[in-house]
Amino acid sequence: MKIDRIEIKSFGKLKDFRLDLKAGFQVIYGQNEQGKSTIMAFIKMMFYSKLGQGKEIDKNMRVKYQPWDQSHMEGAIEFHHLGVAYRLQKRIGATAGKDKIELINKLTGETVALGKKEEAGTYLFGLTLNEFERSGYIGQIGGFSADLDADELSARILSNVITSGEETVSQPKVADRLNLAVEDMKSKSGKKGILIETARKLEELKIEKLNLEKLYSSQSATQEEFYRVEALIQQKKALEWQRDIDNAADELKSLDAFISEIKEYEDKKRQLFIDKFSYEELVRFLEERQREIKSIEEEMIYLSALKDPVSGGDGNSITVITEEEYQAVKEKIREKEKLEDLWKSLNQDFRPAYENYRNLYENLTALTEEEVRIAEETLQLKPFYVTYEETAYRLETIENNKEQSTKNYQNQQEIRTAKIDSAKEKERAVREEVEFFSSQNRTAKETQRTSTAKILYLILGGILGALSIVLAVFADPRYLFLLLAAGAFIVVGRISQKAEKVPSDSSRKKEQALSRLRQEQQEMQTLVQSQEEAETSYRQEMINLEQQITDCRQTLKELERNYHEYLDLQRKQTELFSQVNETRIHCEARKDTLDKYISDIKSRHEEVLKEAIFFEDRSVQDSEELNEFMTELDRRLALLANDISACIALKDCDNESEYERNYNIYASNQKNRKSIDNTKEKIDQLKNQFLNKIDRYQKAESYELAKAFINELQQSLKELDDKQLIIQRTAEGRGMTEYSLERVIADRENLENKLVKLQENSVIPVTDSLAKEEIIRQIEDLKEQDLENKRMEIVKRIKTPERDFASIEREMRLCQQELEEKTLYFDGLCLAKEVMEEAADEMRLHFAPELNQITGNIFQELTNGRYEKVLVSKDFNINVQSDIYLREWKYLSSGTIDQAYLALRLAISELIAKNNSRVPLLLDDSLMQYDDERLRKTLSFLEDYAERTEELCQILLFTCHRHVTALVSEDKVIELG
Amino acid sequence: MKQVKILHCADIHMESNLKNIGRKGNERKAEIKNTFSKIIKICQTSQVQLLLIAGDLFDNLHISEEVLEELRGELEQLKDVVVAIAPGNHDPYTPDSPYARKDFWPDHVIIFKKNMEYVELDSLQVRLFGGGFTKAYETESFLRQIPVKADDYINIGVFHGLVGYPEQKTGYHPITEEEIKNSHLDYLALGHIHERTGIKKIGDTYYAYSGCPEGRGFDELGEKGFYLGTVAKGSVDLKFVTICRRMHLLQEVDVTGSFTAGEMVLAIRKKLQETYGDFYGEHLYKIIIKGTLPDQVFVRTDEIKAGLEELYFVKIKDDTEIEIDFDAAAKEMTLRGIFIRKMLERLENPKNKESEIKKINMALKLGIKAFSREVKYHEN
Repeated sequence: MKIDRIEIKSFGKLKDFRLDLKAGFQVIYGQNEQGKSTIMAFIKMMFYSKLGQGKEIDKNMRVKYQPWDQSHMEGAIEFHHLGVAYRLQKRIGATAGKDKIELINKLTGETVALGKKEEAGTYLFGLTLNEFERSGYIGQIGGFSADLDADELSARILSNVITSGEETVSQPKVADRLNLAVEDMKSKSGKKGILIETARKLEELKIEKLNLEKLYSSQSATQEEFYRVEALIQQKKALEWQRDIDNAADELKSLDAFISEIKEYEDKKRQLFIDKFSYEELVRFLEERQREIKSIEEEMIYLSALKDPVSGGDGNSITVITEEEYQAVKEKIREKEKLEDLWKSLNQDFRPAYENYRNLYENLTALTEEEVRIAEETLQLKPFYVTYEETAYRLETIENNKEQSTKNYQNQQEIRTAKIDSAKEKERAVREEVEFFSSQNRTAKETQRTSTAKILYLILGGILGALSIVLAVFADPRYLFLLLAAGAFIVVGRISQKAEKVPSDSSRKKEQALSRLRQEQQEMQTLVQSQEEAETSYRQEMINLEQQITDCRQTLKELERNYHEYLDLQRKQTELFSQVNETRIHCEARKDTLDKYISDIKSRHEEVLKEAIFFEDRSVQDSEELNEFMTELDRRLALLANDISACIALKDCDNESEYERNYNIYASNQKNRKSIDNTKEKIDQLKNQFLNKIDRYQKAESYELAKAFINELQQSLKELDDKQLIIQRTAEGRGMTEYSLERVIADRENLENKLVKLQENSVIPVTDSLAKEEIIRQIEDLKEQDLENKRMEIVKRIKTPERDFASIEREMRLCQQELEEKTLYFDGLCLAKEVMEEAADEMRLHFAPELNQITGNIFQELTNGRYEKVLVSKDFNINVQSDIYLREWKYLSSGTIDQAYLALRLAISELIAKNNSRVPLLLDDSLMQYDDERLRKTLSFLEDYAERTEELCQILLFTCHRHVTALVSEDKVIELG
Repeated sequence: MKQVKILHCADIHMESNLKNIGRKGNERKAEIKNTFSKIIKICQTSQVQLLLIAGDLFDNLHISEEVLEELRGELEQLKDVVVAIAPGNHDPYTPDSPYARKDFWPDHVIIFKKNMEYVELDSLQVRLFGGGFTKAYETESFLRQIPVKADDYINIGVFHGLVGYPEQKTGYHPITEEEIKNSHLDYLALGHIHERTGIKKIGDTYYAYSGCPEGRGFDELGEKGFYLGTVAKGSVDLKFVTICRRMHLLQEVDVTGSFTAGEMVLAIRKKLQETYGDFYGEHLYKIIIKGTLPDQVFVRTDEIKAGLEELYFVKIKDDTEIEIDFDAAAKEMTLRGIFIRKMLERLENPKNKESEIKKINMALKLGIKAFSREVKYHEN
């Protein structure tokens, strides 16, 4: 195939670009970024859409060459292939499926139909993209590899090419990957690996299931035991059910009996009450009638009692005492009794109290009088008492004054003596001072004579000073020295003057001292005089005070007796006062007691006491009034007693009680007669009333018949009550507070329903023939077996496994699936590994020798016959052969390596072209590392090589190196841009 | 016509140990429990009269006291609903089963403790038949002699078992269609199969598997729930109600055209969003990556998994093919070309069995992969 023209409408950075190409070798020069790689990519993308198999796939070429203006990638390529000119136009979409391709046969103008999803490159050249690249694209060593591992050295690339036919495919690595994956699944020892683990897991699950089965079978005996016990429990339940049914049937019978009893009772009740009475009414009716019978009977007994005579039954022997007579006598007796009571009260209560009170009262009066008398006496003695007290006080004061005056006098005397001593001391000091100044005066008179010379010194000093100043001012300053001399004169003069002052000062001081001495002597004289005066005055005062004291003591002696009398009286007065008070309190208390008696007696005998004045004045000296009253009372009592005795005697009675009895007998006989008549009448009336009332229930001929009927009725009612009591108790036994036929019938219905239900819900059939006792016995037997506990005990023995069959089976299923999946994977890997080894052998046996042959030829030519072959050793190392020697890769220069690579790539291209079509060779700066000589030689070789191949070969060398263009003829150079 | 409102559910598998989803296992366990609580609430709000639990309420018999107490508390709330439980192979009525506890379950909860029992619910005019597993396996049919009476009562059955198996052929209570036909039940509520069936009918009897209300693995896919509706004498009106918190989903995604893990994540996300809506992230996925990828493009499952962080749970399986024209490639004078050619030759052997073909295809795929990448088995 030969490319004639490339037209790029839009592709990567290229837009409306056109490149015409010739056959044979051409150098396409362009600086970097001028689109060399873009053109090469464009050629590839024109022939192939499914770029996945290409080597630049990671870069996603559809994205990489997306035009910058976001327009579609579009272009055309014109070429000759097998003598036919074609134009391939393509608009490249986002995916292979969206590419729009048109292949036109330029000779016929027809569009060539490509198969569905068929690549133009494959269709035309029989090459996959991979092979297209392998045969047509040669870069620098590794230039097309976009996925080179860092450790893949150039040697590895060459080695790859020889062993796998591809730069990026390392046969050992492929084998390695498969091996590792196989071992990952199953180690060489067969003990480890993903597959082994899964198989082991499945095995474990199987064992677990097996164990579970064992557990189930070992527990089946326990479980059977459980079900046996469970069956017994059910049997017990069934027996209980049967028992319940029997009990219910019995209960039903008993309820029936109860119901008929109630009904019988109710019938009787109805008969008895004849629909007129309620129970309560009948009871009341009977009670009332019984009460009436009782009343009648009582009246009849009373009547029979009345018919008996009271005393002998003869009315003539009875003393006639009328009620008026009797009442009159009775009244007198009552009056007498009343007066006797008064007499008793006055004599026994009032009189002693009264006398008691009167005694106390008199006592109180006497004491009060004594109190007055003593008070008067005290009053008379009081002035003596007062004087005595005052004199005593005065005496005390004088004695105090005397003592105080003595003390004062002594103090004053001490002070004055001290003053005199002090004055004497002063006088002596002043006298010494006078003597001192007298001696000083004598010395002063001797020094006075030297003072005149000294004045001269002063005058001389002054004159000399003035002279020295005048001379210094008017004559010579040196005369100032005379000032010193003048100064000396003045100083001497001054000292003399001071000494001169002393004699006059000393005599003045002596005068002053003499004057002070005189004052001191005068003052001392005054002091001695005043001391003498004070002593005289003190003695006079003492005499006066002694006189006063004597007077006072005389007075006190005179008053002493009266004073003590007064004090005695005062004490007596105090004692009396408390005595009077005490007596008064007693007196008041007695008076209260007396008042109580009086009020009591007064309330009982108000009438009699109306005129009793002794009650009013209790201060009376004696009880004359009372005595008078008592005498009167005695008289009245005597009168009354006589009167009563007369009345009694009139009726031939000896005493009051006989009189009373006789009266009672008389009165009673009178009353009895009347009562008999009344009672008879009352009995008839009651009987009539009774019969009338009986009529309400039933007519009766006579009282006796009616009475018998009532008793009979009472008896029936009692029987009814007894029956009712029995029913009530039965009802209570059935849990009712009150019996109710409806309730019992309802209970019966419920029971019947329960029975029906029980029969319906027969869970387990029970042998019908079992007697009731037998059922109970069997229940008891089963109870004794303690089935519930047994059941519990078995339950404890049953162990439920952690996992059940279903779970294990589910997991086994999943595990089996997993194992199958992994086994398939493992088998696949093993097969792949096996076939890969076969493929590698084939490569080694068929591909490698031929490749070595062609490569050797080219390599020899390129190296001027220096090296003959490129060989790959068993350990995949590259060696080159020179003569009979093999050289290891690492000892070759990089230029030689590049040449070896170029030879290898050209050889591959040739091999591919041998089976398919030859496509243009695109060299991407492949000769970059060549030195000038080697470059020149290689360019020349490529020129020849392009010419020499059977089918004209187009070789396009893309370069950015200007010097490369210089080494080829101009017509073979195309400059881009 | 008399009818009764029922809710038929089964195979809740409470307290199931879900190790297969790793740390999410405990969360899912709680969700299963919560879903059952929701079912109970629905019974209350929808005036259900009969709640039928056709077995495997518990995943095993080792149920914690706490869970049992909670369950009992919830069932106690359903005072007006008759709850019927037919113990299944996972929770058989054994002496140590939670069902066998004395005085534990509320009075309105009926637990069938024998293979065949029935109760008459007079207030509902329903005769309820049921049977429970008493051991982990039951090889005989409980339905053989179902004593249905010919009266006005609605006859309903609740059983855990496997329809379509004759006796002794399975340990999971075999039931034949003939037995269903002869039962003359008005409705037969079944459990055991975790995938729901439609409402089927044989003879006079309607029957269905409700499936489980929450899937527990990638063998229990899609929407899960229960049947809700009415059953009358000779007719049913039952609708399937989806209740599951999440679904287990097996999703194939074609990533042809993607080159990087990021692009593949986008492709997968797009597919999931299109198929399962905005809340697609809530579910548990097993994603099978399909499509043909260029030779140099790798499916990096770990990266893809990390990229799909919004998914509650995801497993990824690479099932992609390499984009290759085998016939053309076989002609290449390369190691790969020879390998492909040799593999194609093996495939052409007419004596190949299906398993062999599978193996060769696997070897071809792995061999080609080995040219460009590691081929270790990847367990994700």
